[in-house]
Amino acid sequence: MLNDEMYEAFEHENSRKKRKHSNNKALVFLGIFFSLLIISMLSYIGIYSYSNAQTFVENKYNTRASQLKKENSRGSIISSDGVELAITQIDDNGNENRVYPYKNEFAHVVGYSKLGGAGIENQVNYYLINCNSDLSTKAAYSNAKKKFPGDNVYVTLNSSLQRLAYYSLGQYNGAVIISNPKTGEILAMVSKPDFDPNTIADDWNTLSKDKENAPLLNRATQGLYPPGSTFKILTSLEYIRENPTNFMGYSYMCHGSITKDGNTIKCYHGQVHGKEDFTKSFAVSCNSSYSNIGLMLNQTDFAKTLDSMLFNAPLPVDFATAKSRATASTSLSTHAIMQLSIGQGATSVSPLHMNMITMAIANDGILKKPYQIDRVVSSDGNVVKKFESSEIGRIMSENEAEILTQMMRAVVTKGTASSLKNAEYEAVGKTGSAEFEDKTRNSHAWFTGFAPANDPQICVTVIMENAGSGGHMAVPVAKRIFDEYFKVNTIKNE
Amino acid sequence: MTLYILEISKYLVAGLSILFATLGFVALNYRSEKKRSPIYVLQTIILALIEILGFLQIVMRTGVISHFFYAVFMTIVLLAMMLLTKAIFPDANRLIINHMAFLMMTSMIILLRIDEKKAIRQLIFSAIAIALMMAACEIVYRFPVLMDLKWVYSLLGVFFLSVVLIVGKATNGSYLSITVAHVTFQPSEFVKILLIFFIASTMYQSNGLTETTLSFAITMIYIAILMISKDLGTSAILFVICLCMVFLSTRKPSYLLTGFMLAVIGSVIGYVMFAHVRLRVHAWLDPWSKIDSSGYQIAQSLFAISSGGLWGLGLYHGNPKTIPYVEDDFIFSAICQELGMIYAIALILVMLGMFLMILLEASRLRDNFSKLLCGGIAVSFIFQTFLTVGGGTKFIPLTGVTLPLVSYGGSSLVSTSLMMGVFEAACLIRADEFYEAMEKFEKRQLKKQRQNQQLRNKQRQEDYYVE
Repeated sequence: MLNDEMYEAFEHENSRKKRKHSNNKALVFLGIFFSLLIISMLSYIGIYSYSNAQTFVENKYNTRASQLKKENSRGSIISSDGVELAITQIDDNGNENRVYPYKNEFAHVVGYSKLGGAGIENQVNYYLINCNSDLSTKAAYSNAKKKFPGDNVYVTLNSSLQRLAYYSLGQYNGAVIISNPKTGEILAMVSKPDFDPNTIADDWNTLSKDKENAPLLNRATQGLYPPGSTFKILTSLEYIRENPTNFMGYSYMCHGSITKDGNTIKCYHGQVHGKEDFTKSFAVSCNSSYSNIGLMLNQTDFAKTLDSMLFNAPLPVDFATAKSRATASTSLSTHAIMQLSIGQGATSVSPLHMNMITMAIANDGILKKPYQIDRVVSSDGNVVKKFESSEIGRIMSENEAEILTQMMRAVVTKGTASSLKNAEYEAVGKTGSAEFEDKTRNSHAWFTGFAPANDPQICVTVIMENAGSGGHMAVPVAKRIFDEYFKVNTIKNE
Repeated sequence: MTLYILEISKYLVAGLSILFATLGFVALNYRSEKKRSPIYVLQTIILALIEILGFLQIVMRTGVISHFFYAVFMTIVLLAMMLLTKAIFPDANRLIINHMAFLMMTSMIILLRIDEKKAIRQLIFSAIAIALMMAACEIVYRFPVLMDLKWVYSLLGVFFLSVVLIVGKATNGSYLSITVAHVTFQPSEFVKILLIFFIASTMYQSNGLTETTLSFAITMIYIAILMISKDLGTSAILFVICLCMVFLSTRKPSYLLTGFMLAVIGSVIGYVMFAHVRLRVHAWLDPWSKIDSSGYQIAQSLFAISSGGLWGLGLYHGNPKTIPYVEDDFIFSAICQELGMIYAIALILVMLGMFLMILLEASRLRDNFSKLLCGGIAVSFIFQTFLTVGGGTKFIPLTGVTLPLVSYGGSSLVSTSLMMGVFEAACLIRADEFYEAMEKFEKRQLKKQRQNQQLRNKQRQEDYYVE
């Protein structure tokens, strides 16, 4: 037989020969080609299934979710200050009951898990029904013949701010949003009329049939209101953009109304403001002056500005929102242009959108993405997923944000929000009183603003339906929120 | 305690599968069976461990002790394959055999979980397939006359396909199978082998335009019949086999390019002409809008794959039966769900390892006929894998072919095993070539040694005289 030494020598010679005249290029090509094909397919499979894991489970044709619900009990939703907003109670017979200890106070924002789900309950369903606890924890539950504990979700909501906002809004229908402009965290989100999520299944018929009040609708994100004078922020921004050096040179004489091409716009309750500059027009919210400004604007540029300010498109956030509408166009009639510049007519906006515009002004023009989910934590404390603050982008220049802040400060110091004037903190904002064609109904009261002016900590947006003027109705609500907030949180001065 | 065992064995199985696949690639670096044998020992140990852990899970989850008997019979069949091949064909490539054992075992474990009756049938099919593989190996090795039967292959292929078209019964909208004496089989599976033999015998001596044209012509006839039977998957495989074998023989990239363009044109024509092609393409592009009809299968497959995660849900812990025809075309998705993405990727890498091993053996062959056979077999094997896995994961449109050696079904199992038998015959032929060359080399070496000796003796004598 062959000895090993000989074999080695032969192999050596053989491989040398091979290298010299390789007629195997075609084989090598096929080998590389199919290997790459298979590897790219495997990468695709891995990436595709990983990145879609959550959407797939939420698909109603996927039986996986119902299987997970059989294996795991639903996790809790916990506020940033450690309060349980939704928990699953299991009785001795193993029956599960979803309990919302704060009842109506978090109704829309936390939502409910039954009947198709809504709010945060719906948004984070995937995390709540999965269990990422350690094996030892699972084993303990398994031995006790219990379902595995689902992961808990910590949200950015602050329970005391939420309750404060809830009770400050009082009996009025409307919405309040409190957010942190530096991170995009939603600290509170209230919508009224509300409901008790504990009894949603029993009350469903009554609630869903009430088309007039629509209590199930989250007005903060999905309600659309005429923005009224709060829209003057956008009209001003466009005027500043078109007249960057001399906008302060603007002046106007208000006689209580303005008439152009037979169309008349009146100031709120027919007030006569007299001689005004740009800042005063804004501070006293003079409709005549703003109609005048609106007529001077380049409608094509205004349309671009409005689109960049997220109008006429879905808001880039992770929860359901309504699409705000504001159309500037050269084909608009004089009447429509005047209506647009004071936020009336066909213009509509969601409270969240108004809050986002305010957040951008407070954060030097950079808009942080509003978010409600902070982290997912397993029952035994492992952080499964952490949601980081992210940026939507710069929607106005730092200079523009600074000018708008000063103008909004003037609203407080010498304008429609003067009840905030004597507060210890420097609040800024803009009021609005959105009117209807139907004069028998009271106007919607708006306020959107932030504090402190030099180092903004919270943005507050308030809308109260049929309440009256923004200055008289919405500002006091915001003031209560600011007052309480700064009682607990010290004002940081740079 | 139960939970610990179940969970830990799940992770172990996934880890072992990756180790098995990696060893397969390591083995490619060693040229001889002798040097590879330590790897084979390791692979066999891993196989045994996976089997033990797998059946531990199965029995603990179901509480059916009799499943252990299934494990015993499975072990006998697979061990018989490994030992008999080694004993009867000492020069056969055992890497392929080990990898086949891995694939067959995975198939039987997952089938046992999906449908016990089918798992038992699959076990019987496997035993038959293994016996046929060895027979094929012996026949191809012993009878070189097989090189010159090209007309027999081509006519047999046309005959088979026509029979299916005429008396075949429709499953899932395609005319694929015929039943003879209670045995249903899919001739299209065997037509692949006939085509590989046909092209190899046509092109092994000369590879001019005539031979190339002939190869393409016969392939096109097959494809035409298959298109009438609505068998897209096999059509695609035959075309790719033909293209790659012609390329291997001629080494002309222009043929590949031409073929590729033909394929594109053919696909467009197929899309325009056939409604069932359009349906498949639409279901591929957007299964979600048609999730209750044509997109259902692919959507459920994607759900299953995604829900498994890296480590899988564990055997009996997923719901693979929500995918229609899971045991045939979507077995990969079931594996993803219950055994995990890691195991599924290892499985495909095991197949890629087989593909590369076959190509490596082909590259070392001098006999052109066997070389072409190996090329055709390798391409058929890997491309079919690509079609079925890619189809079930929305990477490419679904064509409805089986995953070789893993999907349920006797025809698929036997045809792939036959191909591997042919490959093993090629290995035997290569070994003979090797021994022949070795002998010559040895003679040369001895002659050289003798000459050297004489030279030295002479030198010594001369030195002696000088002194």
